[in-house]
Amino acid sequence: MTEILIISHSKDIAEGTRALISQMAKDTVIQASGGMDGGIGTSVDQINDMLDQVQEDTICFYDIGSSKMNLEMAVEMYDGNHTLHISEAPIVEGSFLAAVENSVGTETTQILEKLQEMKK
Amino acid sequence: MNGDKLLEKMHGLKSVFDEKESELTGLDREIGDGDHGVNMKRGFSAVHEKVSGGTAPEVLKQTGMTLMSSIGGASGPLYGFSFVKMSDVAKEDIDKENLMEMLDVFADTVASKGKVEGGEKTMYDVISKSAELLKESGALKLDDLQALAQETEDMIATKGRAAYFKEQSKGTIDPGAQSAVYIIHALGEGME
Repeated sequence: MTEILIISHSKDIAEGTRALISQMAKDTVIQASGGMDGGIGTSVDQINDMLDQVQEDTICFYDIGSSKMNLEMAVEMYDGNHTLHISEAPIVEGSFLAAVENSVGTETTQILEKLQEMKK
Repeated sequence: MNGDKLLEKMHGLKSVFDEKESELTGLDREIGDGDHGVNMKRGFSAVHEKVSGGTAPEVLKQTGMTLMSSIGGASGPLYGFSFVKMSDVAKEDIDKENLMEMLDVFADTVASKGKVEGGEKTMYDVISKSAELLKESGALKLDDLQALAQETEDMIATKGRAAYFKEQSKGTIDPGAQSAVYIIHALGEGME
């Protein structure tokens, strides 16, 4: 199984995307976080907190600007036992596709291949 | 420079950024979103409060982790992550040669994570030339570092928020280049 991680500048985008894709893929583990200090932004800390909870290989999605940089830094500092992938696919469409593919048993590497086709 | 000396310098940056807050905010208001002064001040206040000591690599790592957690935007995480990466190469007693090595790591980290190269009006313009400056002049003097920041004044920004200002970004020193002057000056102080 593959887990999904979503990091957005906005809490509403993170939560909304999670709600949207959970409806289609109930068994997929989805972590989502967004916003900073009650406003817009992302922080390495909130990504680290999510990475601490990861139980399987995970595909991570980000939205704009510094969310990618923060995600890259957190992934580089990660010293857990699972493989983390950063997808360049759009956050809603990409995480949706990944969750649905995961729920029908598609392997992580194949999900990543499919995501490659929908780069930003 | 051992852990105690380095800690003193990191704590000392709090008063530097308290003093320079309005200068950095002024620069950032011209070509950015105006929060660089308050961000740097908040970051090093947190370092002053939370980083309590250890070996030099430990102090660097704690400083980096604290900066990453306390500053938003791009510059805070870039500075923070750079300190974490510098802690990987720092010795327990940092000498001049080791500092050059650290500055190279600083520059490489900002380049790779910030996706930036020289001449794009960023903190990288100061950081990337500071190792060379130390090698050539044997010191990291404030005037020499300031001259590097000054070079960004006539550059046109192509990265970060300032890029939206295009030609209009000319005529203002990049705020990140300016804050890099203070950080690198602190690292090099007393190493002559």
